[in-house]
Amino acid sequence: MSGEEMITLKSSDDVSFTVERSVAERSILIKHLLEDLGTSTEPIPIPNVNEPVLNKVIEWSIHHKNDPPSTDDNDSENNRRRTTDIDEWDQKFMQVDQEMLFEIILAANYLDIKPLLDVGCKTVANMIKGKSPEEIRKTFNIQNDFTPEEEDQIRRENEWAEDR
Amino acid sequence: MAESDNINDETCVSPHTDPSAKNLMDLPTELHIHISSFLSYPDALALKHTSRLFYLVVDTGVELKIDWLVERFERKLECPMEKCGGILSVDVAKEAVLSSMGKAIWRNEVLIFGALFIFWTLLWSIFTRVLLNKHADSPSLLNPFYLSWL
Repeated sequence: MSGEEMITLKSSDDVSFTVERSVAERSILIKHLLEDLGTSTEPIPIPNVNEPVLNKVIEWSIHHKNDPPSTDDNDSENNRRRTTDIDEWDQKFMQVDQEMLFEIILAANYLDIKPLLDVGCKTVANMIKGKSPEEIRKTFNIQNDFTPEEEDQIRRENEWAEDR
Repeated sequence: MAESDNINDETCVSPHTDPSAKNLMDLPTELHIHISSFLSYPDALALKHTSRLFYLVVDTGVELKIDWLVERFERKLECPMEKCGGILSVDVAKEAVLSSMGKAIWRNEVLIFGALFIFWTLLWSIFTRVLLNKHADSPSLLNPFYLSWL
């Protein structure tokens, strides 16, 4: 792909990545930026994303650069019963520690890469699936800030679901 | 309640020693909502009951309950109708299941009646053709041109 325009992205810690325009344009934020800027050879700063995370995001974007653009209509249609199926490559890609997973989600959200954001959120959803509230708290280090009275009330609400 | 002791225990056990390390609670609320939108009813309920933040954020509304019940029904799993009574009235549950059944039956009905219609039309056309050929010279109700003999 020698003919394609190359774009340089610069992470928050000043590491530059040079990628094809189609790869960079998986990010709607960068796509709109490039449309507004026209052709520019200057590196695009990505202030909220550091080198290891940007590296992962670019790895994902390269693999998915030829994906057809997702249609929003489709999304809202499936909204009611959304699946958490993730394709095999993405599953492997998401086998990272929790910090990296949340960094990727935040980066995808900031860069406006909806499919990557969805894969990240589905991965988290899959980590929640089948767990009790206590197990979820342990997994994600969530502070239980309910008062004993509130917790008692919640337990009563939750009673029927316990032996599902 | 012994819960107050638990709270203290939990603060001590923290796998994340690096304060800059991102965790689930560092995500903005819209992403919490987005994540919870991928959960089925029981999982959303479990997440809802982990902390105050998720209690406010996670949606476990009637639609989600109905979706979950319908899904169980479709997979021929037991639907906890009586147990749901506390939170989801039996009427709503029945209505949900019936509406999902209704949709399926209605789809089947269209197919069956369509097939029957085509079948009878074909049979009728064959039948009339045979009859008309046999007695082409006599007036017959089956002959579309019988009016000419009147």
